Amino acid sequence: MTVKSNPPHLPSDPSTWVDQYSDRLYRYALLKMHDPSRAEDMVQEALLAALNSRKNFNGQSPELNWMLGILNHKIIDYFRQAHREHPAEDIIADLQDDKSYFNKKGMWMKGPVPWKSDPSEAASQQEFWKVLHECLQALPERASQAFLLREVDDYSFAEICQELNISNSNYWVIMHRTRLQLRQCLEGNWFALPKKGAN
Amino acid sequence: MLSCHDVSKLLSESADRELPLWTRINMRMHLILCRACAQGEKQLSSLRELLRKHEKAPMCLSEETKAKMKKTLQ
Repeated sequence: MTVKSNPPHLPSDPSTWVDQYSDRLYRYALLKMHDPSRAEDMVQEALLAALNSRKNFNGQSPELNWMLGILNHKIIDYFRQAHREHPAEDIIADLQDDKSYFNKKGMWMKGPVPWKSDPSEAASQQEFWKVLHECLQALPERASQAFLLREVDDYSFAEICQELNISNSNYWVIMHRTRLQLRQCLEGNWFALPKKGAN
Repeated sequence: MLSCHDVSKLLSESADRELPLWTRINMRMHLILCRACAQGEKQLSSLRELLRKHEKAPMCLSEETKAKMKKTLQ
């Protein structure tokens, strides 16, 4: 039996995309959107956009990465639309002030404590991702978005400032406060709790 | 001498761009002496690793949603 495979520069048969890629795309969208139905809509839109632009696929990167790129841009556009009239100062005001974690001498009021469960084990636990989504959802949308573009997509700070239309000086405040808040939320709701159901 | 608040800012900044050598040395000295800040540094990098493993999360689309998506792709 001979298996007919596409030349490397052509996308695979679109009728196989849902089975091949949709769960992977969904996990990415869910991380960014936090909401299952919005994440599903984004995946659907990205798959359709991929279908319509498959002539542009040049095979330089794997097909999955090409689709993730399309999905990422859809998500950036979504947030840009949603927040086009909100100034970046609002993001800062909606984050907990970094001063509130420290006393007047700049020492921790309640500093990081050793975590009781291993972060590398958390990845396969659905409960953990639920907690993470809740912690991300507690942040201003553009703060979590900036943070994830940095940590997940490895955008540079200059790229993030440009994509989200925030100034360099706002960027450092937003990221610092976001990291403080997220670290504390995950510690309080997951990592400092007694070890979660060891599989 | 840097405070924990200063170090917290610098740790965040150092995840996004390279800091000047002298600032890094000062920050390292604080981290050697301060257990809370050292914990914080470790946790931020664990969190980064974890986020990059999001494709391992056990969430999936329902079969119903997938069937709907397949239809729209036809």
